[in-house]
Amino acid sequence: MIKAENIVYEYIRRDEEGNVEGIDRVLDGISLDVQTGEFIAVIGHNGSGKSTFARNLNRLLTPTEGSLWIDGLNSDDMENTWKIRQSTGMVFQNPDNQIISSVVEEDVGFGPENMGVPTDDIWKRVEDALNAVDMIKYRSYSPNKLSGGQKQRVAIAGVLAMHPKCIILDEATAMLDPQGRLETLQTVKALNKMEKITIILITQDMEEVIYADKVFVMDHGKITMSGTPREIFTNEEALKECQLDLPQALKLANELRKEGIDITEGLLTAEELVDAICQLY
Amino acid sequence: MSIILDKISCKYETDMINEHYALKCITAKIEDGEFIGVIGHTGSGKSTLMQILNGLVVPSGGSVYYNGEDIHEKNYNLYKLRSEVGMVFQYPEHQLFETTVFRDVCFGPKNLGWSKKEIELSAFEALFQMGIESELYYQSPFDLSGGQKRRVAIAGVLAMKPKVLILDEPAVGLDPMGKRNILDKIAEIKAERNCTVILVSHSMDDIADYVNRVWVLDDGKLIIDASVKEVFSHKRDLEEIGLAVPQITSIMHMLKDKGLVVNTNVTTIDEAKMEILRKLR
Ligand SMILES: Nc1ncnc2c1ncn2[C@@H]1O[C@H](COP(=O)(O)OP(=O)(O)OP(=O)(O)O)[C@@H](O)[C@H]1O
Ligand SMILES: Nc1ncnc2c1ncn2[C@@H]1O[C@H](COP(=O)(O)OP(=O)(O)OP(=O)(O)O)[C@@H](O)[C@H]1O
Ligand SMILES: [Mg+2]
Ligand SMILES: [Mg+2]
Repeated sequence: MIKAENIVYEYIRRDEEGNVEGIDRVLDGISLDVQTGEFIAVIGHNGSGKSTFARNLNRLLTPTEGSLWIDGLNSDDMENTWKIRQSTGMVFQNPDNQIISSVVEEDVGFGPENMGVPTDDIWKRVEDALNAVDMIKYRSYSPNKLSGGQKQRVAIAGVLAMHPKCIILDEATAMLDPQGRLETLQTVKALNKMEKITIILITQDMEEVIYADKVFVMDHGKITMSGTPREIFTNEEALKECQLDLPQALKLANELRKEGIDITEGLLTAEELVDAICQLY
Repeated sequence: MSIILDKISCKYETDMINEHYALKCITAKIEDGEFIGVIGHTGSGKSTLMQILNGLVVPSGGSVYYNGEDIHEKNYNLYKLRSEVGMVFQYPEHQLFETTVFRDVCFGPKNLGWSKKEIELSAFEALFQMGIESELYYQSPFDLSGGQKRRVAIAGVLAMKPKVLILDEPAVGLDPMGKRNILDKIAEIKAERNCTVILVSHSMDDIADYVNRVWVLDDGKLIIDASVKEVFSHKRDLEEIGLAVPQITSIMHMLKDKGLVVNTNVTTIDEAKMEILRKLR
């Protein structure tokens, strides 16, 4: 689905007169391969380049160097912009950047309409997507008059309605309440499992990483670690050096080990920790 | 000195036929130096309540008394109120507007009539406390990553040294270590200056780790006003209104369901560790 070969991205900073003030190399030689149907988590410190990488995947930006293919399309080729945006739907970090229309259901229908989906289908898709995020009640509201989490749900619905091959969520669940977050992740996981939709989940919430098949850790524009969540979470010290951490259950497991309790290594979920503790008892 | 909410209600005009009450008859009192956590499902009224506290939204019923004075009275000096009651918005973009990060952080204190030196000192201190690298000080705040913007927005409010600090989801988008550091820093500042802090959060773990008292909002009503331990002992009730208990508490419940007789009224990793050790040794 995605193939990146040594991509570099540089932001060019200019002063008021337009003179180049500085060049920031924000992506510094990223290479990776994501297969269709994989569920990927991307984690990394603030400013490590996650959102910049995501914008490259959606062709909002194009790499300064290196090559990037999305769904077999080379992102160098301007002609591919539209096709790439149809196959990869992105939910931005701040939903305000995504709101286009003054009515929720039109906002959600905007994507499919632009893709040339027949009108009857659009309404069906909009309804399904709003139901999936539990926002159908608000279909005729103005998105600007919604709470932070409600806006975020609408933004997610907008991408679901596009039925893209790949969904990129840039901290898209961060403002949701605990149940809403759980439901959204389950929806996303179900799309991934049932319809083989590729998922790229950018998150600061280590509990969400557990849902992924594979994790990439970004640090100052580079991918410094990759592996299954289980592999990534074996190394607490390395994660902390990257400003990251473990999920709560695994922190507790490590604390218990420090006290000499013989908890099985390589755990991932709270359920596994509970089983491990019960075995000792 | 205190803040009193006396039967606050708030009605929003929606485009619908029905008007919508975002807050319904909220009565509560905040003493100086308290650390209050506010939780509630998406759209439950948290942000609306916070904006009422700092005079940005006028309630449709009831009054807010700050140090004995009604802040929505005609002659009340709202300007002075906002210099004492600092607020970090749910989306940091809503409060960044200057041309450089440093100027942005200076903006608040500038309005307080301090000397240039005091203003700049306070701004540097706040930027440092929020872990913002000095390379970013003279860049545009709009060219920052999501987490960097969040840090600058918090710094801008801290630089004013407010007596009451209202934080609407301040930790969203921060990397795990950054979040720890920043919340620790806020707790430290609170202890030093004996200011009041109100923290709105969807992270039950953060609420458990930092606050003394919790308000639970459900559909515009304040349904619980109690200590952390008390609030998180109502697992089922919280789940019914879209919330949850902290991860750690939920692990204790899972242990109990497996037949291990543990105290489930545990909210932090340390407490959980002690409780499990007590059972295993
Ligand atoms: N429009 C821009 N112009 C110049 N620099 C930028 C711009 N956007 C981002 N940057 C810089 O590029 C770096 C990477 O930013 P990016 O938004 O990709 O990080 P991120 O990993 O998504 O961080 P966060 O976790 O805070 O969202 C940061 O240092 C940021 O300051
Ligand atoms: N400007 C507005 N006009 C009309 N209704 C609004 C407006 N702002 C908020 N509302 C409505 O008021 C209710 C409370 O919104 P509020 O933003 O206070 O919720 P919240 O608890 O902060 O939610 P979240 O966790 O999603 O941030 C919601 O149902 C929302 O749709
Ligand atoms: Mg980002
Ligand atoms: Mg809110």
